[in-house]
Amino acid sequence: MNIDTSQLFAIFGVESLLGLLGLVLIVTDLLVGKGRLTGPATAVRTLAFGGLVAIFAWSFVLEPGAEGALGTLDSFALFFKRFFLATAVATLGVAAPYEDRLSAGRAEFPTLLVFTTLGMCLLSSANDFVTLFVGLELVTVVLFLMAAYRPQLPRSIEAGIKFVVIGALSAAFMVYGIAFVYGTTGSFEFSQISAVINAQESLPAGLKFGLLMVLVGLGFKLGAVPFHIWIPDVYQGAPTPTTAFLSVGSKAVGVVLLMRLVYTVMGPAAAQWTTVLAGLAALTLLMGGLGAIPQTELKRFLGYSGISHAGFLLVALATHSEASAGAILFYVVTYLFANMAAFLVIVIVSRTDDDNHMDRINGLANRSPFLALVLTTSMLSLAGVPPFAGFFAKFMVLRAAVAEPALVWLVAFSLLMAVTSLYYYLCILKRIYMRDAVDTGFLEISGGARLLLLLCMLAVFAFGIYQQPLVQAAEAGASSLFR
Amino acid sequence: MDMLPFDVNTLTALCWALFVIPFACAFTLINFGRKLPRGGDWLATAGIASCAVIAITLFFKVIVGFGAPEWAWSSAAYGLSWDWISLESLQLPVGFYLDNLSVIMLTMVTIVATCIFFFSQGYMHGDRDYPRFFAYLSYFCFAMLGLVVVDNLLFLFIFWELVGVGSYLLIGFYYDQEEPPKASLKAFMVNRVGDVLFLLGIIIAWQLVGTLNYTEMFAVLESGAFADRTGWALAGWDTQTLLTLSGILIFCGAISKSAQVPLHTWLPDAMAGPTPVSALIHAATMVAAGVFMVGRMYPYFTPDALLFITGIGALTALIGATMGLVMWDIKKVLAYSTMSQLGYMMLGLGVGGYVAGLFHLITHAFFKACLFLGSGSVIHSVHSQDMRDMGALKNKMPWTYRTFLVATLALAGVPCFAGYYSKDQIVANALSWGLSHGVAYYVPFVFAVVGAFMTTFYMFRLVFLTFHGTPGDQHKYEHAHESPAVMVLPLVVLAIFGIGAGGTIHPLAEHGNLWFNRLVPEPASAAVAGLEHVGADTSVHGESYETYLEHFEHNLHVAHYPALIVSILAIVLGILLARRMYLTKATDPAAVARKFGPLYGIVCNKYHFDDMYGRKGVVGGLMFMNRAFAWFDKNVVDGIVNFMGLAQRFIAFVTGLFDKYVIDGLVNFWRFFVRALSSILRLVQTGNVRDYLTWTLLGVLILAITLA
Repeated sequence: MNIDTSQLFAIFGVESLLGLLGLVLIVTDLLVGKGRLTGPATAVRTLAFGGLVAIFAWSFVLEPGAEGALGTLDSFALFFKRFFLATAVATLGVAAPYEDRLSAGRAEFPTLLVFTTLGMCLLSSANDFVTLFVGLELVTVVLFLMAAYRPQLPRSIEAGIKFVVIGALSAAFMVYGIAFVYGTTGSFEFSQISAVINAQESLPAGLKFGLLMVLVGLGFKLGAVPFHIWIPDVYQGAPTPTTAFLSVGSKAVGVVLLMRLVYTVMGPAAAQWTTVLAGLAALTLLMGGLGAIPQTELKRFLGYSGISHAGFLLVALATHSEASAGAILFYVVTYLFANMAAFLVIVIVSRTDDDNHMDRINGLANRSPFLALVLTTSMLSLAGVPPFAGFFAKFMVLRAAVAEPALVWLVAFSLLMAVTSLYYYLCILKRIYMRDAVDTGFLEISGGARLLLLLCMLAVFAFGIYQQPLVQAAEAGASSLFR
Repeated sequence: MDMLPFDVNTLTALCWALFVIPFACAFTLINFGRKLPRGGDWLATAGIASCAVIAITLFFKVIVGFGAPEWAWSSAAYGLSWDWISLESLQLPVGFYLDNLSVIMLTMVTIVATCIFFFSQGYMHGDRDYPRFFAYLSYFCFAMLGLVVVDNLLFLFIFWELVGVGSYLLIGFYYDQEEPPKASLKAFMVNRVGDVLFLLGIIIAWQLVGTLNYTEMFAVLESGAFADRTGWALAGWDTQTLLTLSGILIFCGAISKSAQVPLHTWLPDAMAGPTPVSALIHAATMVAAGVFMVGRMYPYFTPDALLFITGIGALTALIGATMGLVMWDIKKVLAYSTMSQLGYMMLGLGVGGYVAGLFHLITHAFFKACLFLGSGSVIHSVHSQDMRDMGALKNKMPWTYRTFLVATLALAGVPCFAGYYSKDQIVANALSWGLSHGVAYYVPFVFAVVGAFMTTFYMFRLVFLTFHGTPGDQHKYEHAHESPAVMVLPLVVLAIFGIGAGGTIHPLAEHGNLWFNRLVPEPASAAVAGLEHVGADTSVHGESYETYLEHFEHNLHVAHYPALIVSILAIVLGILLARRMYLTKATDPAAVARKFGPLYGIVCNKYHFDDMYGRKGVVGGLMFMNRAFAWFDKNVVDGIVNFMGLAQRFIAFVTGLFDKYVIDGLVNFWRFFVRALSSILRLVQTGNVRDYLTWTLLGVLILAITLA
């Protein structure tokens, strides 16, 4: 394995810059800090924001094509790098109004965020189980910290500990699986493993078991039933910006790796896994759909909603066609905008006391028509109501799936669950518009938050009306998986 | 190679500019109007004026530059169209389409609109919602111009709906008064009826032709290569029937939008809006959009569909004119006059006078806008709409009077004025249609002539009552005054067009030599041509299409002078009668009304159309149906739904029990009083990490077993 530095930079340019940015943030914190709380936080946040936006912009200059021993920069990787960078920027936006509630470590939060993003970008380029595992651990370990970020709140500590234990379990499955895969194929590289897999009629039991273990490890990230079990507790306990980041970023990590695994590594052999994936998808949809109904806590509710979205992503994964891969990329982007808007609204309505009970949004339409409109848009998009982007995302997934005769039952079931999910999203709308407010305090919306909300809402709306640019970007991104 | 006045990208940019500028103005005014000096009226006026500059530039570059009747430009031909929706089986590209007709239309709309924007600055001065008014006007212009420049039927429909919204907003502009909100709602609802039918027509057209782009549609029709979508959706119908059906349905959109019988009832009520709105939307542009649409889709209509159009047009022309005879409200007279004139246009189009109908659309827009603005000027001065309060105003308001008179002469079709050239052509076409087909087909001609007589009569009645004779209300008369220059100048400009839009003042000019006839040639009927390919009966009322066309051309020539003489006679008769009844008072109008007793009553009650739609008519029937449906909903559908709900809850409950006993070890206690489903799920989520791990391991185990 010979490694060439310039080639490495060609592949991992984004990651290098993110690493640099992280170091700069640490140094800035030290230099500006001198023990004060707010000064360095503002400086670090501003710097992190500027840096992330700059790297995001720079990523559009990059041309896909570089490939090396540790990673690849195909159009798929590039799509997800941009996605993760955008997620990080949005998370910073969600974190900004939340910052006042942190008694310590305000400046470190953006720094940690940058490092997680680095891990996520690394994962989107992974073409090797070593890179995959290193990146995954980088992401997970930093997320542990971010989940337990408010040590004075027992709930946050609880969330952190649960996350660590479950994360350790998932990592254990992962390593176990990787070991089996290496043992049966003799390689860590995706391309070679794929060659071995597709050279034989049926997989040897060891390889099958190894792949299953890896799948399980990734199932935790995606939040597929029965590996979703950590989601409600951790989502509820973790600070809201972390939850937002978990719900979009961490889920997308599962998506990006599962897509690599299923579409590239397994390739045509994945057809044997259709039943397993479809079964998981159905279970996940069921659990997400029914679990959300009795929730009274906003973040827990969004956790279950996220599980049901994971179900839809699994439907697309089970379909295993180029169209379904494009649909997944479209889906995650629409999910990003709708979800970030929802979490930012939660941050604003929970105000200073971190009460995220659903009562908080009662009568929101009278207290702040703008927030009500944003949350309505977001909920309707998540529910998949036209003309919002979420509708088109679900439509693309189901349209791809219906082409597969073996999956028609799953499509029918997904539709059923989509209707069920409409019920609980509409319950939220009922609270917004038809209930009297419980909390009547002043809702403070900073200019930045307003801008981010507006942007998310417009994106959800615009991609619902005029989908072509995003559809094309998603198709271009997915195409490199099938080369 | 097309002849282009500019390079392709400039042309495209101009098309964009035409409707984006008014939209930007509307957006700015609705948000920041109150913060701008003068409420931002200068911004809206500058916006529409710049559109007018673009349109006039195009007009001169295209019309004067090329003078070619066949000129047309489609952005799609240069690859400049955008996919609105693009799926494998569903492509909906949208682009721009310009030809002589749309350039002329754009020029007319922007010039009239600019005049009206200026006029509004005077008319609406001091209104509480001054910026909102200009925002709505700009918004309307955005939709109207968009409607003209797009290249396909679907986007025409979308903009069609958007102008409808503009009309709704502007009719109900005085939302705190009693009438306007009702009128706006009525306009919206009545238009819904036509629009739904229009959409149905579009859907059939899409099934049948497979595209909604104008040029592509006509090409498909002409080649006879119909899409076979009809195979499953419309099986058992032959192509000609379908074409006729969809043509009639598409025309139904125009019935409501252009206030044709029987969906005309909203137009008179729409006069509740501010007068400049009546001038812009309900006289010059939006109501004419229906005529423009029929013109655009002209090759699509089969002879049977055209027959339908003729019938509706002729009825509207006559019924509108009769109702104009008896109204006392100055704006209502003009509204019924507009309705009648729109009927003339449809009639013209229907009898094969494509050029005549559209020409009348253009000339009518100018002088009818002038009439409405003139009535606005009078209302502004007298503060009443009732003609009995007016009289003798010609001394007080000389400029309003002069321009009003010019426009009246143009509307009546007095030789040398613009209306004469277009209306005369319609009458000639109607006569030639009768000559070509036989006795029964003279009806439209007779209606047109009688209508022309009535038009002259009610217009001169209006002029005499308002401007001549003695003041109806001395107090109001004394306070009457000429309007400010910002209102009078637009009147003058429009009056000049009222004379000049005909392009000549030679009373005996050959129709073929008029500017409009030279520039807008009649398209061949693609519908008929296409039917030849599919072998359907292509005869037009017993003749082959070619022979029919030849006969028609010949008859048109024959009909010119007889038609001219008859219409001039009708006009003279109308003026003389109006003079006798309202100026010299030799005959008492009330006596005449008594003589026609029952008939007069029917006309005064607007032929009971409103009653027919009202509580005891269509609406009442609908409400009965609603109640019936509500009952059905409540008792049957809800019953099914509730049963399904119960069934689902039962299934969920059973699933819950299953869960409980399978994962018994995870469950520590059972909360009996919580709903079965939620409690199960909550109990799974124990919060105990060890339970979670057990769960997960179990899942892995099951997965491994499944795979093995």
